[in-house]
Amino acid sequence: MVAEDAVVVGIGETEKSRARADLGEPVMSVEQYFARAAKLTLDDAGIEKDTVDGLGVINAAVETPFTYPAKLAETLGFEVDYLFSEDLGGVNATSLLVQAAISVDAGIADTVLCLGADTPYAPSAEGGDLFPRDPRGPTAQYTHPFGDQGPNASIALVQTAHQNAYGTTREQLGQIAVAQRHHASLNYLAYFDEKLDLETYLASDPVADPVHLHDCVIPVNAGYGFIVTNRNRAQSLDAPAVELAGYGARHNPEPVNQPDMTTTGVVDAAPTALDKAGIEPDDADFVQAYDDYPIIVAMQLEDIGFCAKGEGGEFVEQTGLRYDEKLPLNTSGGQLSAGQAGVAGGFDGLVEGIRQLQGAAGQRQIPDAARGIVTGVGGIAYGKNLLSSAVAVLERGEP
Amino acid sequence: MSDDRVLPDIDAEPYARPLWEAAQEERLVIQQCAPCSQAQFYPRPLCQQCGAAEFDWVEVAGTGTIASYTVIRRTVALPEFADEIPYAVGYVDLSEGPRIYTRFADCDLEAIEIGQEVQVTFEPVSDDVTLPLFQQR
Repeated sequence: MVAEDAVVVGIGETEKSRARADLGEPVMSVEQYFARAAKLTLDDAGIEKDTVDGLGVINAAVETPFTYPAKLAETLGFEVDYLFSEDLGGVNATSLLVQAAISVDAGIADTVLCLGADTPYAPSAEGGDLFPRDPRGPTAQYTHPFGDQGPNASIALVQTAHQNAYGTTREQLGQIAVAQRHHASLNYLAYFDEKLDLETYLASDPVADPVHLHDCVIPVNAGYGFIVTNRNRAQSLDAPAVELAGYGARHNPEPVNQPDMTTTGVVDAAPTALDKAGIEPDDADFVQAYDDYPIIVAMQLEDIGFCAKGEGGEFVEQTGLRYDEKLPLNTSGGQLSAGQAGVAGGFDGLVEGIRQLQGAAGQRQIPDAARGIVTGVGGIAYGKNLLSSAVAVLERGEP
Repeated sequence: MSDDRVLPDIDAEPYARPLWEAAQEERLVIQQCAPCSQAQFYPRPLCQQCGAAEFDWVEVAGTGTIASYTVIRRTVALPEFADEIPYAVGYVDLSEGPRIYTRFADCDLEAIEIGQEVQVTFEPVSDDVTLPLFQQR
């Protein structure tokens, strides 16, 4: 157990939108998504707004004012003792969770509401970049001037290296996209639920070899939330509790000249998290692995220890990945099919993991889900794999 | 190449200026830590290996091998490169050790592969910026 006296008691997730007013989709600001996520989460837990004394929020990728977390608390009307924020891209959700749990366990706050929202299609933007360009730093100075076309092109380098070293194929990686799309078809909150077969996946347009369109996430506007509170308060609620059994993270792995491009920091984060929880990979009833691209999922499955390094392609080909099969993977549909809400993207897997352990996943409920692994990875690094990785082990709480 | 392409700001990090000044003279230089002799790229205010802040700048041979590459098929982040498509970018492991991001100039896109030997070449892109590109040998 990471924080003995802290449990998750509620989740919230909004509908997804690409702000297509012509299709009847809502066009809302990031603050509206934060607000809607807050309301859904409080309602789910049966907690009054006034009892929230801690607030954890992400710094959205969409342009925000200075001192944004406090401005957001002001806009949403939360008066709190403890306010914290995260700015780690794909690791935002898992990182907020551990901070919330620690703060509750330490008695700094009793009830912490964590929120993530982002609007790649912000009402204020007029066809601008999905992610604003870095004004300075390594990307602005040392990759963009050479023609680096952003994350797709960066992950393409990682996938090329993995395919070259281990013979991983697009046919293998396609299994991930196809299984996840099946889950999305069972998730009314997923943006895309049309069936996807391997042929369609393989035939999608190339973006940056070997990454094709169906390897890329679907950017959406959305908001998510969860609430962490102490056991005493949790017992007074009607909501099923979920525990943080283990946690591990690694930032800036391998600061050397020629790091292994085919390995994520999950290789360091996972043993810490699993040891803390006292489990082996096979003890997990599901994995919600951060899925900005199928290759990133395959590498994390290797790095968690479901198979040896390099065997991720073979593993996903031979292992049932659907919610009712051997290793349920990204059961919401993941960011590849449910949608990626900018730097709130990691909430998709975390909220889904909590939902499965609450037994509230409806048509895609994993039978008797008792514990699972949720990861967050993110940050494009120079010369290597991703910059930040985190692994959380969640368990269904005592009834 | 269109004129509005994104350029590095050679004054953004004073400690990195020697890189850009040398590139103007068509020389590729990298930081070498004075106490521990470890070379590194991109330029940083501290040595990744030992944490020291004193560096020598050393000129490299300009040779290396391709660590990974991708052929860009559509513009996403940088529309100003649209006329160049398809083009290859990626990492080169310099003979001296450090890994450097680059575009592959005059590239045979059919023949490019990991491990291929490459040689630096220079592309002046503005009055004060010259970029180190690499060519298949």
